[in-house]
Amino acid sequence: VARTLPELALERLTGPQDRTLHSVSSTEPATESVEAVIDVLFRRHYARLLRAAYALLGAREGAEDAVQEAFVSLFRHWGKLRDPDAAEAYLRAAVLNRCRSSIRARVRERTRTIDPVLPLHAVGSDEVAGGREDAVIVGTALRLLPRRQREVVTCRYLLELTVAETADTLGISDGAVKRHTHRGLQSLHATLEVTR
Amino acid sequence: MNTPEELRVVEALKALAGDVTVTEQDIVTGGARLRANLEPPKPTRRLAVVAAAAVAVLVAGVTAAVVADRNHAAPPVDQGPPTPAEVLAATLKHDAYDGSEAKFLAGEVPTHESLAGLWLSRRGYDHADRFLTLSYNMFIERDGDWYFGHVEEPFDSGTSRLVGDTWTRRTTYASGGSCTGESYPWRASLAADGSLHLAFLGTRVAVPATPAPGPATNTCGAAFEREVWDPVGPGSPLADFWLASAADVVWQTREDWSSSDAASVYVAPGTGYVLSIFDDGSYAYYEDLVTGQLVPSCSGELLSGSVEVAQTPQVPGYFADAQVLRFSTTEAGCASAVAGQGLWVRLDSSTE
Repeated sequence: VARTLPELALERLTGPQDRTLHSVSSTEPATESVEAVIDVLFRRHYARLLRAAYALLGAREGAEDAVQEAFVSLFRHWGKLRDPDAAEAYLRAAVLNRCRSSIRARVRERTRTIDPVLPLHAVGSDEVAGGREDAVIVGTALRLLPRRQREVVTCRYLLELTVAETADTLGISDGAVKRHTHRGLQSLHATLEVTR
Repeated sequence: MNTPEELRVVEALKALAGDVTVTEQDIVTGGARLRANLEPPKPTRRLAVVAAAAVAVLVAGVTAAVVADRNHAAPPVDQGPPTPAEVLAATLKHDAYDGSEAKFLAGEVPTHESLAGLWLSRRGYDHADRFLTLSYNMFIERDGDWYFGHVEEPFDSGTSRLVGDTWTRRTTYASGGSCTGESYPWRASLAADGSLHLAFLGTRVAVPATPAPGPATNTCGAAFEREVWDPVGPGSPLADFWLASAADVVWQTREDWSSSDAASVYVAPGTGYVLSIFDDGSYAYYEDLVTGQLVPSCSGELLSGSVEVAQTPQVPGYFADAQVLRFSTTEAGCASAVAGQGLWVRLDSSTE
C-alpha cells in the first residue's frame, strides 16, 4: 500500500503498530497526518532542542519561542522535505537559525540602549553561589564564542550530534566541525581556568 | 587540549543543559501551544516567481553595467605624476582575461604554501551572473580548505587538492545550496604580478549532494572559464595601492560607529591581517593566514568606538572603489588589537 510522506514518517517514528494510536489512515486529510507526525516529533525532540536553544540564548522564554517557531516552520514546509528522516535535521537547523536571529536582534537593541560591552547573559552572583560555577561560566563563555564555534559546540555537546550530523546541520565540512570544536573547547577551557 | 581538560568543559556543558528541566507538563503545554499555531501551508508560487523576476532584472542590470564599463576607452594621458590607481593598473598584467590559454597561464606552478592566504577576485570577466558584487574574497588554508566571504560564515566553502598544476576545488557548502558536492578542476598558475590565474578544465564533476532541508537543486554551472585572484598581503600591488591611496582620500569621522552595521571582510594592507564582521555585529580577528588552519586570534561581540571612513578611487578595468576605515576605541583586548592595525579596507564595498 502506498504511503504518503507523513504516513511514512509516522511509521518510521513509531513503528506500524503505533499507527492506530494516532488514528492516521490514508483517508484522512494530509494536514492531520502531518500534525500527528509533528506531535510525535515534538514529544521526542522538544527537551533536547530547548536545552540547546537555552545554551545559545541564556533565557528560557526565548528558547521556548525558538523551538516553537521551528516546529511551526517544519509544519509549513513539510511538503518540501525530500525524506521524512530529514525532519529532525530540519528542526535542528531551524532552531539554530532562530537563535541566530534572536541574538542579532538583541545585539542591535543593546547597541541602542545600554552599554555595548555587556555580555548577552550576565552572570548573577546568586548563580555563582549556587555551586554550579563551571556551568554558569561555560554558559556565558559559550555565548561569547565566534558564532560558528558556538554552534558547533552546541551541536556536538548539547544536541549530542556526531561530527557528520553536525556538518550536515551547519552545512560545513567534517574537518571544519573538528576544527571549530577544538578551538571552541579550547576557549571555553581557557575561560574556566582564568576564573578558577 | 588533553582529555581531563576537555572532560571538564564537556561536563560543564552537560550541567548547563541539565539546568533546563523539562517536565511532562511542559511538553503537554508546549504541544498545545504548537497545535494552536499550526495552520495549513500557504501557496508560495507567486512569491517565488516575483523573486525570480527581481533577481533576473538585477542580474541583467549588473551584466549590462560590466559590459558597458569594459567598452570604455582608455583614460586620457595625465601629464602629472601617476596616481596610485595608475601605478596599480600598470603593475597588474593587462591581458589577464584575454589571449590564448598558454598566455593566460604563463607563470609558476603554485604550491600549497603559495596558495594559502587571502585573495581578491579581479573584475573584468563575465562573473556578474553569479556574484552580484564586482569583487569578492577567497581564503585558502594550507590544507586546501577554502572559503568565499567569511571563514566562520562563508557563503561558499569547501576543500581542494593540488596535483601538479591542476587545482580541484570541491564545494562542500554553498549558502544557496546549488553547488554543494560539485568539484571544479582548474589549471592554475601564479603570474608575474603575483596574481593567481585559474583556467577551468572542462566538465564539472557532479557528485551526490549532501542531504539538506528543502528541495534538491543541482543547477550549479561553471560560472567562469577563467578566474584571476590578486593577493592582498603586505607588499602586494593591491596593498601598496590602498596604502598610497589612503594618503590622499578625504576622511569623514563617525563618532557613534558600531560593527552592527558593517558586516564584511576587511584586510589591513600594512600587515595582511583580517577582520571579519558578521551580521549581528560580532567579529573575529585573524593575524595568521598562512601557517595552518584559519582560526581567529581573538574575537568579540561588538566593536564600538570612533571611526574615520573614506573611499579609495576605482582602478578602471580592475577594481571598484573600496571603503577604507580607521578605528579607534578605548576598549582593551581584541578591539584594541583591531584598532592598532590602523587602516582597514573593506573587500566588498563596491559602489558601482
